[in-house]
Formats: sequence, C-alpha cells, structure tokens
Amino acid sequence: MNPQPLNPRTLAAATVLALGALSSQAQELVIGTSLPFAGPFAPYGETIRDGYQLAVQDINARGGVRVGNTQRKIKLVVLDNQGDPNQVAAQGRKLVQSEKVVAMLGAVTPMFNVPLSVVADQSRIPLVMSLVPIDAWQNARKGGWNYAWNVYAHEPEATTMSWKAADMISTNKKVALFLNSDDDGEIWGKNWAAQAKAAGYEIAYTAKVPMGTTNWASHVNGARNAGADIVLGQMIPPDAIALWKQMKALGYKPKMVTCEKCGSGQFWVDALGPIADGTMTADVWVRGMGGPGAAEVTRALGEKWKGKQLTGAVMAYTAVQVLTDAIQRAGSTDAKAINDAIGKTDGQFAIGPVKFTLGHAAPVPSLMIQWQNGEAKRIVPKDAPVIAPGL
Amino acid sequence: MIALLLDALATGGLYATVALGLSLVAGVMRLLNLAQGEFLVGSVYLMLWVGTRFAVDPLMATLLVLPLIGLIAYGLQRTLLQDLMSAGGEAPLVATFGISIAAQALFQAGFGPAAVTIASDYGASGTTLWGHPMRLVSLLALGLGVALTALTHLVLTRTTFGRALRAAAEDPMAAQSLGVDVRHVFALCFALGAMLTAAGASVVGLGFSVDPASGLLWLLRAVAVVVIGGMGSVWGTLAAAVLLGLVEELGAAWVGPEYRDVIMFALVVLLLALRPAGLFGKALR
Repeated sequence: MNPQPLNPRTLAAATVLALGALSSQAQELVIGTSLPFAGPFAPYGETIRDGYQLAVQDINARGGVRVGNTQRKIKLVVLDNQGDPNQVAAQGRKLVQSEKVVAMLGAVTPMFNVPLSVVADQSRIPLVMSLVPIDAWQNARKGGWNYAWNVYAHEPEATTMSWKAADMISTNKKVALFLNSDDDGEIWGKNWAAQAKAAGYEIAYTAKVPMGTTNWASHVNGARNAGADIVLGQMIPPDAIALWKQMKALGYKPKMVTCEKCGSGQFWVDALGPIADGTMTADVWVRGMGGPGAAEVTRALGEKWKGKQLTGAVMAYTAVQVLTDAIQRAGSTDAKAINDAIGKTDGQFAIGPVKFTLGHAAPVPSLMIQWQNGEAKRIVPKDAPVIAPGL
Repeated sequence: MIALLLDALATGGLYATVALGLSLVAGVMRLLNLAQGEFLVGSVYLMLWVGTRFAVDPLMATLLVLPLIGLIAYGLQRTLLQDLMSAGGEAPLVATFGISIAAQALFQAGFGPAAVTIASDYGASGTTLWGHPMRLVSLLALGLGVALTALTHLVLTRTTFGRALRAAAEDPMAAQSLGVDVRHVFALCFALGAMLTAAGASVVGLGFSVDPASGLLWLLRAVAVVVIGGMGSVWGTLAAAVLLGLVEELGAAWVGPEYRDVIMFALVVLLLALRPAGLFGKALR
C-alpha cells in the first residue's frame, strides 16, 4: 500500500499542536533564591538548597503544579551569594529581572532574609522563607512586609524552651548570656532577660560581642565569677566553637548549656567531639514529626544532615510546598493573586500545620533538642532524659 | 588588672604569630600578600588532614605541614608572582587576591563549608598563672610569638640567607650585581613567610576554628599589626601585636566588646596619620 501524501491542513494542525506542546512544556514556573555557600552560614545554605531541590524534584515527578488549566513544571534557580549579605539584594533583583521568577524562596537568618524581603516588597514578587525567627525579621520593617512570608519559630515561645529545659536540671538558677551583637542575639537576649524573673531565674552575666570574636577568656571568667550554672548562647558557629573550647580550657563547668544557631547542626559535633555533648538548642522539628513530605526529606537527606540542619531541609521543603499550594489555589502566576493566596494558607505541610496568624508570619511550635553521643534528641517535650554538658 | 594584662599578652602573642609572615614578605618584597589568611586557613586544613591520615599529634602534624606549605609558597612565588613583580606593585597584589579567592573555592570543595577545629587536649586544657586561669593555647601563642620573632631576627641578622635577604630588600638590582640570586631569595622569603604563618595557624586551629572564608578575619588583624609595627620590622611586629592585644582587651573591658573592631582600626588610622611607616618601620631590622 502506498502511503497517502499528507494533507497540508493536517500537517499544519500537527505542527501547531506540536509547537503548542513544546511551548507548554517550556513554560516552566521559575522560582529562585540566593543562598550563602561560603562563610559561617554556608552549612545552612547547603541544607536549604537540598530541601528546595528535593521538593521541586518531588513536585515535578508528580507532574508539576496545576495553574488554572495547565500543569507546569518548576524550575529552581539558586544563586550563590558567597555568604555576603551585600550581594543578596542584587541577586534578588537579578532573579526578578533576568530570571523572571514568579516567586522567590528565602535563605537563613535576618542577615540574608531581610534583603530578600526588601526586594520582594519593592518588586511585588512573593517570597516564602523559613529559618529566620519571626520577631527578628518582622522588626526589620516597620509597618510589616507586604510580599514576604515567613514560616518559623517565634522567639518569645522559642526562648521559653530554655527555661523548660532548665527546670529539668538542678541548678542555682543563675544564668550567663553569650550573645552576638546581631539581630538574633539582640532579640533572643531581650526575651531571655525579660522572661528570666517570671521563670524563676536570674541573669547573672551578659556577654554581647561582635561576630568574629575569638577571645572569650574575660567573659568566661566573668560568667564563672558571677556563679552562673546555666549558659544560654546565641551566636555563629566559629565564635561558639572558640567559646566552648575556652570554657573547657578555663575549667568553667556550667550545668546546662544552650547554643542557638551555633549548636544546631552536625558540624557542631564534628568540630568539638565530646565537648559538644549535652549542648541544647531550640528547634521546631525532629525525626518522626511533621506532615506530608517530612518522611521523604528524612529518607532522602537524613543520612547527610543531622540536628537542626535536617530541620532546615524540612523547612525549605515546607516553603516550596506553601508556595506551590498558593500558586495552585491562585490558579494564576499573577504575583498579587499568588501573594493573596499565600496569606490564606491553612493546611498540612512537611513541618505540620501552617497558617499565617502573626501578620505575614506563621509561627511553628518550638521544642528543645540536646546533642547526646552525636545524635540530636528531643528533651522538651520529653523524649529523652537530659544529660550533663561534656565540658 | 593582672588577668586583663595576661589576656592581652596572650592575644598579642597570637596576633604576632599570625602577622609575622605578612610583615616579612611586606618588608622584603614590598608586597602585601592578600592570600595570607588563606595560607593560615590552608595550613589548618592540612594539619587536620595530616593528623587524621597519619594519626599523629597536632604538633607533629604542624611540623610535617611546615615544609609542605613552604614548598607551595615557593612554587607560587616562582611561577606566578615573580614575573608580575617586575610589572609594578599592583599586579602581584591583584594576583594574591586571586590566589585568595581560588584558595577559598578549593577549601570549600575539599573540606566543606562548615567551621572546623583541631580537636586536641592542647586546645581545651588550661593552667593557672598568678591565680589567673589561662588557656594552654594562649601560653603556646605567647611563647610561639616570642620564639618565632627571635628566630626570624636571628635568621635575618646571623645567616648568609638573612644578609642576602636584607640586601635584596634594600636594593634588588645592587644585590643581583653582587651575585645574590634575588629571585631565589624572594621565593625563599615568601616560603619563610608562609611557614611562619603555618606555625601561627597551629595555634588558631587548636584554639579556635577556621572555615573556607575565615582567612579575611585573620588577614585584617595581621594587616593592622603590620601597619602599626611597620612593614618588615620583626620586633616591631611583636610589639605592635602586644599593643593591639592590650588595646583590644582594655577597650573591650572599658568601652565594650562591640567596639573592639572600631577601636582597633581607629588606632590603625591614627597611627597611619601620625607615623605612616608604623611605630618601628623604615627598613628591615
């Protein structure tokens, strides 16, 4: 049988259909972020990137995001800001202007998330973030953010974890605060100082130092001379590693030690070994907790990351879920429609339930973990008994 | 007050060990090595690797790393910096900046982004001095600072290499005409500077931590010491380091630790205005 020559109309129709299919496939939803892959926050940059990539991979494997009547895959653009907060705003603008992102995802700490939030508000492009305590982020803009959204711990609740943990240990109730003089240090320090008396504790010594501090000797001696049995810390890992070594070397043996930001990931245990044991840190998630997607994160990244770094991956996964859920509900890639939909978020995600009840922030309940033989164990609410610091 | 002075001396000793190599290279080669911090950070990474790979004590690892760092520095100077130096001051300066950036990327790829430290009892042990608790590593820094300064002074003043180095520093052309292999001498000087930095890095690795980007922190302190002490002034480096340690500790105690960097760099600016060559600078002593 001789093949029939193609009807020019059929050929044209097929071409149009093929081009249409190609075009719809090419119309990926572009989302982007600027993360620190150098400097003290680089471990978090890697964790967050892994969480974002895993979420995008999972969503694309399920066919992508439904926008109105079309199913669209997601393209994730990750820019490296080299740990330099001054590069973040420029990279945010690049995402908006060059990459044409429909929305952005956040980084870590106010240092990186505030400049991204500024770009989001100026460009009117939605931004969903985590790993930045709510007050430290909200206080950066009087009147509140318009296009930036944050899902994370609220400091006044997170700092109460320290008192709940301290209540489980026999101490003289005297506390020494070791703080970096950044936004986080400022707010955590204020909350601890404001809550101490009502919780039955006394702030006996406060060391507030710039990031990059290497010599802690005078402060260690100050805390010891003040008789503090409890050390509450909020600082970057390099400073804290030096502090922990100096507490050990100078023979200061507090009965309880916490280290926010610093004592939160596997790097803490890897750097300090047995001295890291017993360090507590407030968190929002541990293995076994969470909603849809949490198990996938644990399965895919649980070997690579431990402690709060794995939490970082879960929060990053959650941020992508919250954003794509909003895009689906908006049924459009219009920035305002997506932004409005984010504000109405009320559902179950990897971290658990998410609802923006504090302005543009969705507070996540806090808990306290403690490093015990290299593993992060939950002690508030109680899963494991508290152990003494390895100092 | 004694406690404060002891802390200041220890901090000064640490800064001297970190700055001595920079000062030597700056004084002899008229080159501010912007990769100085990366030599320090790289030395700590190498010490960690050698310590783990061969299961040796950190101080032994330091001894093994010293010649390795010296060889790397010698090679860099001969293959990259030497030819650039004839093109003026800017080219080698930019080259060391490039080395710094490339080294950071290498560290990140090889050792990851997190802060690391040399886990050892040396870094976590202490003693008591006149009733004041002191870290062993602080005393090590102070001792090393004085010892390395004295050793460098002896090398410069009592050896043939030292005489050649001083001749090359004074007038490279004249030294060359007198038979001094200036290229080799400069490369040896760069290697010696890197080895002095590596020795200081052992204290940093034991007592503190490094990450791929932390070289800048130490470079800034080293530059402050060199500016105050005077480029190439060996004893000036030690004196400036102790002065800086004193100012830093007293400033932190009296004004507040948050003003540490402000105080330190205000001192640098003030001294630059009053004595541009530094307190002890002028020529290599």
